[in-house]
Amino acid sequence: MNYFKNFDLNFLLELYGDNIIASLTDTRGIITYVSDAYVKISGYNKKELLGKSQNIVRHPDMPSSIFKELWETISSGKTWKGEIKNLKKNKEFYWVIATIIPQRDDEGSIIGYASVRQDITDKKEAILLHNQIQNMLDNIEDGFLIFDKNFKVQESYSKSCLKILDQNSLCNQNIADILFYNDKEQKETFIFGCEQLFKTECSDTKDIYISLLPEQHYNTKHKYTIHYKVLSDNSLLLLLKDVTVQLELELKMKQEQKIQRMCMAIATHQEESIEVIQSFIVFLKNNLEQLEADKLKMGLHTFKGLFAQFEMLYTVDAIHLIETDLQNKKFDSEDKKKLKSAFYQDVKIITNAFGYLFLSPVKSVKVTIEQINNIIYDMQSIIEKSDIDKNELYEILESIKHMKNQSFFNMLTMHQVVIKNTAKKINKELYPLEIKGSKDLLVDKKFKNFVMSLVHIFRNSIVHGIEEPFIRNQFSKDTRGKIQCIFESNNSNIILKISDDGQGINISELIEKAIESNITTKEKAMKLSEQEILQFIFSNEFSTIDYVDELSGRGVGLASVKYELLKIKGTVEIQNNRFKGLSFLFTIPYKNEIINNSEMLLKFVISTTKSFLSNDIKIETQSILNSKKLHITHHYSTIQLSGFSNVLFVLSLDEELVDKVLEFFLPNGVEKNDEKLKNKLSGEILNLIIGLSLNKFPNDFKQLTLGTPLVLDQFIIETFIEQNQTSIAQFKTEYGNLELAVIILNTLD
Amino acid sequence: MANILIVDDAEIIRVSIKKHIEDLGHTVIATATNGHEAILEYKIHTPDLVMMDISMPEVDGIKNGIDALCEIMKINSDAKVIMVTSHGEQRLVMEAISKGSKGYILKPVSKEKFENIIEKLDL
Repeated sequence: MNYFKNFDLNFLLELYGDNIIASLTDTRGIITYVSDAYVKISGYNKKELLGKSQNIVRHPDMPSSIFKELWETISSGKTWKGEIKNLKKNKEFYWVIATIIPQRDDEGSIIGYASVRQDITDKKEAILLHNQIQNMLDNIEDGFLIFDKNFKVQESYSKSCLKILDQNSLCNQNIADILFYNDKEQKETFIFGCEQLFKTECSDTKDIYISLLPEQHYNTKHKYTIHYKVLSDNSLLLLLKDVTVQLELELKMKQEQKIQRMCMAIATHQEESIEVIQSFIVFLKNNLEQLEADKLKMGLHTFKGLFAQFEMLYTVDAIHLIETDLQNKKFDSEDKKKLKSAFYQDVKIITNAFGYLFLSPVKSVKVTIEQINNIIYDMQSIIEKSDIDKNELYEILESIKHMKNQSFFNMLTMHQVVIKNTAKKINKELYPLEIKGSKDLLVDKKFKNFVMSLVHIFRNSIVHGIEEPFIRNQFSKDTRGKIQCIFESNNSNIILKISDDGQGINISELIEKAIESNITTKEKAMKLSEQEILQFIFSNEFSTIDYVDELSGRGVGLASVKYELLKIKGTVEIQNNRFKGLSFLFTIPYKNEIINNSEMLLKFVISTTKSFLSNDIKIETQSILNSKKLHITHHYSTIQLSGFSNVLFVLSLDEELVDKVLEFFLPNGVEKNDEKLKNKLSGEILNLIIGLSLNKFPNDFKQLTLGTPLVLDQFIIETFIEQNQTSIAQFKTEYGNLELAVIILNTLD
Repeated sequence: MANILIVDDAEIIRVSIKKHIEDLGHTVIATATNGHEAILEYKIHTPDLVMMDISMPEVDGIKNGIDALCEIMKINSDAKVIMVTSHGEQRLVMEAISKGSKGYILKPVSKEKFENIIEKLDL
């Protein structure tokens, strides 16, 4: 059928030639007519087109197969319809959808072809662009999606969104439900923020809301960051980036760094760390479930502090968690199990790094204080007897004596690393810990627990004392905080001052907290001095901070400093300088702890005894020897001095000497062979001697109270001598021996 | 040069904000330690700008910085109030913005942050 008679067509073209891209060709494709629209779109003028082949606008992109099919169709008399890309005169292109209809004469023979075309360049471009974008969205790693005022996800989003958000399809879903299915609070914040953002016209305000929207979230499979962009149609574009691998890698790196730091800390404090590990093993062997709650807490807390010092990875966290639990329940076997497994994980790290021998006690020889005392004693007698260079021997003797002691200075240095790391953890800037004092000051190992407990003082300083760098800046302070440790010793004390240049303590806040924690009442607090109030920070369960963390803030920290301080009979004064700094002034009796308290006391007792024997009883002492062993006869007794130190004196007399003394003591005519009297005699003499000696003792010891003479079991005396610092003197007289022992009892151990 | 009212319950924050603001050449016309005080001070001084801590202890029914903000907006609907806030308070800040606050500053405060926000407000 032929709808377009020549007449009709020409008529139509005249009417619509401006709008319709139309042309007529003969049977060979030679152009015989073009419409104005054709001229316009192709860029040729009519002259250039008429008489030319239709091929003039053929675009090289078009496959020849299409034209073959086209010609086959129209030459067989059928209409062809299809999309064709054409070439303009200026080499640009345009797309048309063309309909080509064969033209017939009256006999029905084909005499040419009429084509009408519609410009579809824009549509083609749009489709192409869409495909390109979709292609891009499908291949891009980041998630792009757009959602509207109703939180509905729009059709075009990148495929990665599905993966990141773990969904099969997102189209038309509610984005808030998908993103924050596992976090109600975040979801509400997100919805509220977006609603406000959609509501406001002001782009600055929109930006403010965007800055407040969640920046990161997660589902079971992925962690991702979220960026937002407001689009011109007031919809929101989300850019999601999968950061799961990145975060896991970071986590792994951090873990690795922590392990390294732990190994470093342990390697630099090898001796101490092994000691702490060994004592924790002993602690774990206790029946912890039955232990008194306070003792258990104190013990755990101290170990937490000690292990934190060596940056022990698992044990510190494990103890921290158990401590938190212990506020609500009792310690049970489950806790013990957790503690053990965490501890062995740490031990595994250590043995992996240093080998199994590292923790083995075989590696070092344990020398007891008694053994050292024996060596000292032997050395002394060798020095007395020998002709060789005594000075040299005395030097050796001194160094052996020092084996029992440690340099106070060195003990303090162990805190340097911890302080540095703690500050780093919470972004405070700090100068290295400054320690000032004599490196020669040697103290008994008993000081060690106290020095270790100081970790809590340092942590408090760093966490609560030293301000953030920006605040320090505003107060015209050096942005780096300073913590100082200064110590000196006099005859009787070590004075240790630990000070920081932080913000000090807010007294009124402290009182409030103390009242809150039921440490005091408002009425009582009014009557207290500032010093008494400051001392509250040492109370159990007291803390000036509201949150509890791995670093500090459980309050028990400073309490354990006080506990250790009391063990060595020290006192502390707090000097608070609000906004300028805080100092702790520790005074610790020092003589009490030095090596030869017993020797020193014995010296005084010997002189009293000697003068007592010669002046009062008229017996000359032939020689006085230091002895390692006390020979206990039938006539002996003990007497105790008690107070901050407990000293036990033992006196033992040979029978002959007892008779001689008795003879002197008793008036004539009194039966001198009375066994009861004989038995009492040693006690009387001891009481007399010690009573006389007491006045000569150094000040600290003068304040001790003298007990009444007792006859302690011989075995007990021997055990005391074995386990405590003891000095013994043996007096030789013509009537036999008198022996005196001075034993420093460590009652708190 | 603007007259500024600082509202914060923490002395240390008040002091540091004051320092920053004065360094930038502005005047701190008054300070307040809670929302209730803030409203009173606002009435007296009508400052050009208020730096308002978002969470403060409740005084006289003024629960927090947002309540105080609302009261101030009632007194002067063109009041310029900037919220001072910590991490984790996003939801509260959004609420404040929706109630007319002109912006917020995240603690820790710094001179740069003040400079930026005061510049934006065109005081």
